[in-house]
Amino acid sequence: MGDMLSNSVTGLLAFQTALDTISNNIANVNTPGYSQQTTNLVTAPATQTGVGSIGNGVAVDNVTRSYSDFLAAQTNTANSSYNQLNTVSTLAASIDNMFSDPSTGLSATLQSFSQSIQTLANSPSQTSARQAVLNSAQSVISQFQGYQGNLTQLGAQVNTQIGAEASTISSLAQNIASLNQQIMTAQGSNSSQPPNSLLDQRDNLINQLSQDVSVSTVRQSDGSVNVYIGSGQALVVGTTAATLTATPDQFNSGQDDLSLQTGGSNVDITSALSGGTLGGLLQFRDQMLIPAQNALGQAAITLTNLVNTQNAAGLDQNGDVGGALMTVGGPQVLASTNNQGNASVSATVSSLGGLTASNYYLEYNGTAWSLVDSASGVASPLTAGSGGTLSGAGLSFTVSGTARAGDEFLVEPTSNAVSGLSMLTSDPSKIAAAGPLVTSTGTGNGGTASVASATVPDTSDWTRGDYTITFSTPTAYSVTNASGAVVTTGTYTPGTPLTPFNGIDVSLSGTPAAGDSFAIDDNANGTGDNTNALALAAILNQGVLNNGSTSLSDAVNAYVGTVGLQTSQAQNGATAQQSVLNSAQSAQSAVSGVNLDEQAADMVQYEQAYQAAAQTIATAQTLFESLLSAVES
Amino acid sequence: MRISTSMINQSAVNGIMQDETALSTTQNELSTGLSINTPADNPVGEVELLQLDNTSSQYQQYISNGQSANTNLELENTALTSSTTTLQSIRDLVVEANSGSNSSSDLKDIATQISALESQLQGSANSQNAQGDYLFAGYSVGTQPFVRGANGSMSYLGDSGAPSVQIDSSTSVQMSDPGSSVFMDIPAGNGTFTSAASSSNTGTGVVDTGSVTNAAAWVAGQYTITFTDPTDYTVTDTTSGTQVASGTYSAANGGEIAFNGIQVGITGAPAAGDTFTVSPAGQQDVFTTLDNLVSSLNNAGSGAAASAQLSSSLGSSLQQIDQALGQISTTTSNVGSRISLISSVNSSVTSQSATVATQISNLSGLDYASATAQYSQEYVALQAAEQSYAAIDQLSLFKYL
Repeated sequence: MGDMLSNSVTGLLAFQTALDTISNNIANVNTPGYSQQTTNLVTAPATQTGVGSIGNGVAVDNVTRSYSDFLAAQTNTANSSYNQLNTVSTLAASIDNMFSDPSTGLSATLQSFSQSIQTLANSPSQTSARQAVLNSAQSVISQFQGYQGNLTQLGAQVNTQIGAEASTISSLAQNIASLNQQIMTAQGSNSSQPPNSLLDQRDNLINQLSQDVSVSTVRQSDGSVNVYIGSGQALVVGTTAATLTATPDQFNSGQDDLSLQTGGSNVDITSALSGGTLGGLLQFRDQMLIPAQNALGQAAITLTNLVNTQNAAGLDQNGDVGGALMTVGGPQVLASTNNQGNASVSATVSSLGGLTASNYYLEYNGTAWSLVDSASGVASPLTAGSGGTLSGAGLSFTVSGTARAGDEFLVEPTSNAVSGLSMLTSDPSKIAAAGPLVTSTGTGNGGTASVASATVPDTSDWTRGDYTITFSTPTAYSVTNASGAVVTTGTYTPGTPLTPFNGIDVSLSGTPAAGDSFAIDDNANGTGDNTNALALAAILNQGVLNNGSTSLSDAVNAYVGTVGLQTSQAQNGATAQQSVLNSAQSAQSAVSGVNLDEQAADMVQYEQAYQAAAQTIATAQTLFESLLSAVES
Repeated sequence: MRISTSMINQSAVNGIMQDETALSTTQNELSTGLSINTPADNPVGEVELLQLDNTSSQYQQYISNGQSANTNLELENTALTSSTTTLQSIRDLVVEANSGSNSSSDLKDIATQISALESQLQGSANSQNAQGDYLFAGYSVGTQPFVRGANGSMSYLGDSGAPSVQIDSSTSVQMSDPGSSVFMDIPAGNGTFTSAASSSNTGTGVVDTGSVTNAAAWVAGQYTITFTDPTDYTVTDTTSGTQVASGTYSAANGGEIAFNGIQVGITGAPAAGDTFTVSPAGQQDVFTTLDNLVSSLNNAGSGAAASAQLSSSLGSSLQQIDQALGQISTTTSNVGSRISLISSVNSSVTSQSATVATQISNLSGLDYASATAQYSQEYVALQAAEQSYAAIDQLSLFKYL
């Protein structure tokens, strides 16, 4: 009976503990990171007697949590991927939205600029048509600047967020390290009783960390967990946490780099980081933001060069050779703060066809310079020119001072372009609508020849004036200027152009007779000429980019397509990763989560057992009383 | 499989949120009427759309270029028509002057009328458009092209430029004709040579404008026809002095004198020593022609010889006026064909533009039928998700304890 009583008591105590655990489970049904706990009961060691082994009731072995390292790691990985893609997709949408309306986008604005020039070509002498061209050029510039402003703001936002992420990661690391310490202490005192709530807290922190950056963990025998981020950089080792900080990069280009600080060492790990919100921010910055700024800059440089070059090929309303109408920011070369030499490098755009939307590293190895694409790492050919200049990637570099081996420069060919974009004139007469020359066939010419074309390839080589080509025989000609002085003489072969004179190229068609003359006059009065305006209107469709294969209009359209594609990829990726994350979370929750119905059933089960144990005590009492009454009577 | 209570809630909420996102996307499409609302909705379609938008606005520009060129050409047409009318009136006056029954004062009156008409012609040649640009000045539209110099002769201050505009991807049309080609560079004489009577002639011989009988035999050069007596003549090359032909003149057989593949007719009675010249045709502007005409009418002498000279001169003037009329009529018909070219190209561009508009609407426009169907489908799904969540929420074993 003594056994019966004490066995019942062990039952009562054990079931109480089990009911405590159940109530704890129910209380924590909505606690993030909580793992369902189970009271593990064992049979108490039996007493060996002469009549056999008599049981001593039940004992509580321990309370364990339902947890799977594998499923937790899967959830963390899915969480990192989802957060990276979700960050990219959210930020990408802000670039995507800039181009949301095709009728007000850059493409449409450029097109209306081109059309305003065509309207000018219809009436080149009309000031209002000229003013309209300047206005639409200004709209193009405003649009470029608006886009650039948005991108700059986005860049600042990304930098701020990177800094915030770095401090979040550092503080999570600190907390994980301190939990490691507490868990080690708890396990040291009683290794068979797992400190469930501490473990849950730590796993929850690691899960939070996986939101910020991709994370991997290695469990140690002392109960601590080592945490690695990115491609294996140790963030927490035992009870030591490293600090992640965002600092300006070595070129001070305005982008922050991330470095990991442990003890005395400070290592730049920007390129090794991926996953999570931080990975998303870095991916967006490198793959969308910088390329977007560069593409915009490339378009601005191309437009400015094309407009200025074509304007300089004609004559403005005052009869002067057209000047530059627009100006644009030049390439930017930034020296690394780690450079040992005192060299400085400047760059200018030398070829539109070679110009790219990439950034480059210009590196000196002690004997030679090399140019490497900063995104792809592919070397770009660099050729030495006269006067110690180097040219590559559509740029011409001038190095002054002395570089030492290992010195490095960041070359941003186009990122600075839009900030320097502006109109150089507000005078509508400065638009060169007219061609430089006007030709006529002499009155009384006996031959069949006429001027097929007369052009000035480069107005800076042109000596202005009226010229007359006179044939003394059908094959010999002389060129005289307005005062009758002979400029040049030559031999004419039908089908081949005349020898260029004073910057003018002339081609004749047909056969001239002796005595025939042709006037090649300066078109200074040609306010009604629209030849150059037509050429200006056509510049958007001129193949100039990618070594002449792509027009500006195509490049702008293709760029909008690229932005759309990147955004939709990020959006689709985020959606797909969302469902991966959901299923990983539900798999983990199937193991660790609390189900109230299950808890209710368990509760009923233990309640009944508790009642039975209590009933056993009552029975023991009855038995005892019947014995007592037998003795009393 | 067990499922945790929080996951039951979580997945129900996830589902509802997904349905709401889909519903809001469809709702946005329905409200904008566009299936591509940002480039990410359809990157490839967006690029195509941008290109189509460019093409469409380019077509609009072609149409407006055509209209602008059309306006200019209509103005030019008007100026050319009035020039033709003026020259016709002058021609009628020349015919009247040539009738042989006019006194010198009659001739002077005619000269005055012709001078007035010439000023009118100058006015037409200096026509301006609404912006004050001269129509016949070539590129130099800011300069009045036809101006009388200090010596009284007309000069052309424009140039030979002819601006054109694009009215289609591959078609350009000339917007104007330079005054030099309309009024200045008019072939003289019959186009090959001119003939004239010497002013010192004493006979009554009148030379006509001649014709080419064998173009291959014609040697361009200055020739002098000299009558050694009223019936015999020689033809010499004026430059070299070489005689190229000689013959007997007979007014009865039409008075034709033929040499080097050409022939000129001389009527009346030339006297011994009279000379007539044949020169290669250059070009003569219509104003010089009219100036010469006025001067010969004003200075017409009396007598048979003078009347023969006047007749020769008026004959050649008439020829020049006809050449000028021909030149203007050629230009007018060119202008007419350009106007009709613009109209036909414009209508084809308009229909191409309509095709592009259809393509744009196919690409970016929303198919309302399927979008509405999708909307109601998504609406039903959301409703079902919400209702089932509310039902599941009621389930708990604790209720029965």
